[in-house]
Amino acid sequence: MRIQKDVIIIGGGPAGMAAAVSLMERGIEDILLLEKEDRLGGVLCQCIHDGFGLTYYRKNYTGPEYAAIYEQKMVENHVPFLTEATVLSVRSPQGGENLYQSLVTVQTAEGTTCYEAKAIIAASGCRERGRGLAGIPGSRPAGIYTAGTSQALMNLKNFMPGRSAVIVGSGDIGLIMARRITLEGGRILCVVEKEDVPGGLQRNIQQCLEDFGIPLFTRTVVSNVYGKERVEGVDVESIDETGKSIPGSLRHYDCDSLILSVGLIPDEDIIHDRHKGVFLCGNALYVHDLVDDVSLEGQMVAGQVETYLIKLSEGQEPDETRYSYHGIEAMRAKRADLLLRKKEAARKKAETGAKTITCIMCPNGCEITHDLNGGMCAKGPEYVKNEILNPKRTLTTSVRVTGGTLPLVSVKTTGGIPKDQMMEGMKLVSELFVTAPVEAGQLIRKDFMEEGIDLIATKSVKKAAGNFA
Amino acid sequence: MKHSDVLVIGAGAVGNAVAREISKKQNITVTVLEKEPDVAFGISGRNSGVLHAGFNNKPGSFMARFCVMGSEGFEREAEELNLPFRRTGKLVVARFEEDRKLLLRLKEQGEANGVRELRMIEQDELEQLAGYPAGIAALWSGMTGIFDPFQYTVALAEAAASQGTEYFFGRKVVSIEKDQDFVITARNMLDGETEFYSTAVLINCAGLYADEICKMAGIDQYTIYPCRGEYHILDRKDSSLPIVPIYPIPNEKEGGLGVHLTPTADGNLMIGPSAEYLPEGWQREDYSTTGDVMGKLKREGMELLPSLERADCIRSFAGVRPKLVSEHQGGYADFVIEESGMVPGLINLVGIESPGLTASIPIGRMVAQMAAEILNRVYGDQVIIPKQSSTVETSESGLAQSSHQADSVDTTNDDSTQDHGDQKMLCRCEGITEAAVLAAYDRILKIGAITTVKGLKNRTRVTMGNCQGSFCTLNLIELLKEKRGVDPLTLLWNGFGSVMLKGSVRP
Repeated sequence: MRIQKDVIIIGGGPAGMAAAVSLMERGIEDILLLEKEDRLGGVLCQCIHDGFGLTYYRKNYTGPEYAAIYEQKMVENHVPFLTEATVLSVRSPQGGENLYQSLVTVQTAEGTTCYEAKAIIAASGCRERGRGLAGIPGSRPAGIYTAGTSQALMNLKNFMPGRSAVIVGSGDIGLIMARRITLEGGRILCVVEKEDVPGGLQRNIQQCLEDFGIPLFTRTVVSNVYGKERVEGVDVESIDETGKSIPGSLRHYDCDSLILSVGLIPDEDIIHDRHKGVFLCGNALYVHDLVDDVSLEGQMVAGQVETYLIKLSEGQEPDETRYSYHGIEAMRAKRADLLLRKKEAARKKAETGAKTITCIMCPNGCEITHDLNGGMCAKGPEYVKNEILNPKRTLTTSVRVTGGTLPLVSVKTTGGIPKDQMMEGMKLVSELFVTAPVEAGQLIRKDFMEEGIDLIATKSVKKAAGNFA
Repeated sequence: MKHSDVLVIGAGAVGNAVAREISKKQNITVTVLEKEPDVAFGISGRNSGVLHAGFNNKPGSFMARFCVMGSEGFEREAEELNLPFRRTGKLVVARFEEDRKLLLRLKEQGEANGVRELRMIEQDELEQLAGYPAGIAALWSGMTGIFDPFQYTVALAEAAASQGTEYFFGRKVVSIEKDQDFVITARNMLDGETEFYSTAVLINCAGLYADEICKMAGIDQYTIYPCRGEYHILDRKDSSLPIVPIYPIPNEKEGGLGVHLTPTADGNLMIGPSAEYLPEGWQREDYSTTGDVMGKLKREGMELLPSLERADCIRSFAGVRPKLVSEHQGGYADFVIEESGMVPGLINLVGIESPGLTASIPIGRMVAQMAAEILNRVYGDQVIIPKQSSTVETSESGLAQSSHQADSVDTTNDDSTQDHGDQKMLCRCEGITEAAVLAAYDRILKIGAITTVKGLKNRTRVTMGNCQGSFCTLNLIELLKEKRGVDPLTLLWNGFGSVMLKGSVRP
């Protein structure tokens, strides 16, 4: 038996949730959102750092907080959804013209179910490029993880992927993990990037690497991995413009892990044939730098799907809008612009030796001089003033939970704490315990490190059933 | 001290095939010692997964004989082992006119070996079979096929175990004494303890270390020359990739079959293997890949199939051939399969390289016969009767008692143990449910092996898709903890010491 729906949304991350909420708001209610994990939120749940919502909400949320906004909207709009439901394939059904142009096969604990839908919104996110694609030679021991997997291991499951690591690739997740591992007492020996410009946002280079004195080597690759059972070390080498290694540039690092942040690939493998009525959005379409853009795109796609359904119901031939290309051009332009600015800043720095400070207030990452020039807005000079006089950072980390459905609850400071006191702050955090249930926003420690700055939970953790430990 | 009639060293395809054949016979107790945590961690799990037809080997050699025997009727074996198998055929491609005579020579050699379904084909047919213009002519071998070498090796071990063979994993043989019986000293890799095993017949299936086992028994005549072969595995989403193995003309001096394209039983395409002898004194099990060879594989693969330029490599790996010829000598030496003249009761299998996987079952049969004859000699002509069927109940000395981990696991066949109702998807890329992973976990314990991620992967393909475990590793760790009480902090990736995790964030 096949269940019919107007729209099926694949993925309960920011793109899927935004699209589903927007559909409901438009009065398209015969929909179903399918999520493979046991919770909504997608990858945001493991992104316990802040920096989300800066451009769309003008607020500095952590990943779980940003996800909670949309989970709330899902509840308010009564969006129908299933968790622990993995979409295996989306195909066009065999034979005949039909309003229901997509056949969706879904696997749950009970088995396989088939749905038919008039339209599909594939918000299935992206996957990480791994070692095979990065072409890293050497042995293949335990301790080689992608940055996203390391992040999930640490932030969701309370496991350390390693104690000392070299990070390959300077994508944002790699940079975030450099800081995360360092804060948790691990050691990041260096980050290597094969391009001549780092991949991640300038603000992350600043607050994740430079804050902790972690070296970043551009035009550098890992040329060998050692260790039969567990990673024991890696060689890194500088390369020239053509990708050839530069003689004499090889150096060795002893480490117990290698973390790969070598890019993301839109994950649309479940779409088995490209047919009408399939709309991709979010990272399944192209990889976004900012979740804010993903949320916006979710809304836009809902609009396109609405138009599509109207045309379909009127018996008109719908446009060839199988894929939402909204924003791709704008995004490419934005990216090219960021890259240009990065290169320009690097060139200026190298040429003039001018000392600049990277503003970390937003993703623009302006390079501001000590005489307070170079910012795109008033926040920049303000930030730099503080950065010179009394640099502060928001601390995002986790606290141990007893009796919860998760071993850790993500936390943040309600404001900046002195930059040079972050490790002391971590020492304090590591001694804290909180008992489930924990509510997002719950006060974990009042006046943490300094008066007026509290440590609060950024996600909710339920009490585990039958666990009275 | 544990005593058995026959003791096999090495739980690769050959060791398991030998154990399976011997344990079909009644009244013979069989023990297998393996230094790794599980089967198929060595040569058996690191190859092209091809059932060879047998035209690459010299007429009259063991290699040719057992390869042809292994290839003929493999369907029957595959069915008995519940192993997916496809006789895809294979193409050896000539790119230049002068290659034709080499193809003809291969064909003649194959026919001398008794290989069926060999024929020369021309450009048009080649294009049709390969799916692209691969060359000017080719040798078509209709008897060649592909299967999953992990599943095969596991299935042989499970068959042997179900007939009463006792497996001891993580046991590294360190010395061999011969008095009346053989006394084998092994180190338990889990606790470092020394253990002793005695046996009437000792069978050396130690693969890369077969020469060292010989030396422990006082036989110095063999030297293994480890020769590494690297592979790339391509993402299977590219449907334009060939579905038939495509080989170049073999370079006889090199002692490999040349970099070829092999579709796997699961629809990926492999490029490889290269052939580089490891330097003398080098760690034999160095399964590293190297930058130079990785580039070379891609170039040589593209010579066979230019569109590979755009293909996505999801993984690179290496295997090591246990060659009996040095780089200087080149080519192949035949398999050594013999009862030692110096040490009666010891059967050595040395240099079982390609086509060893194909040959493993016939080798097992011959060695079982040899072992039975030795036992008749030792025990004074007791008649050894073949068992009625291969699905005989676990013998008294069987698994439930021997395997320290298997206590809670029932001994009935396969997927019938608890928790197997949960159809939730664990590995989306490969479509593997939690139930399938738990079943594999239970099967690992059932043969007495030690749980590793690699063992689960080899049995189910979990983490083998194009995300390469970046999504499912976490869920895998969690599932094993929740449903089988496996401590994540001690979970192994592959070998002993390969811990996945380095403690907790907050202990």
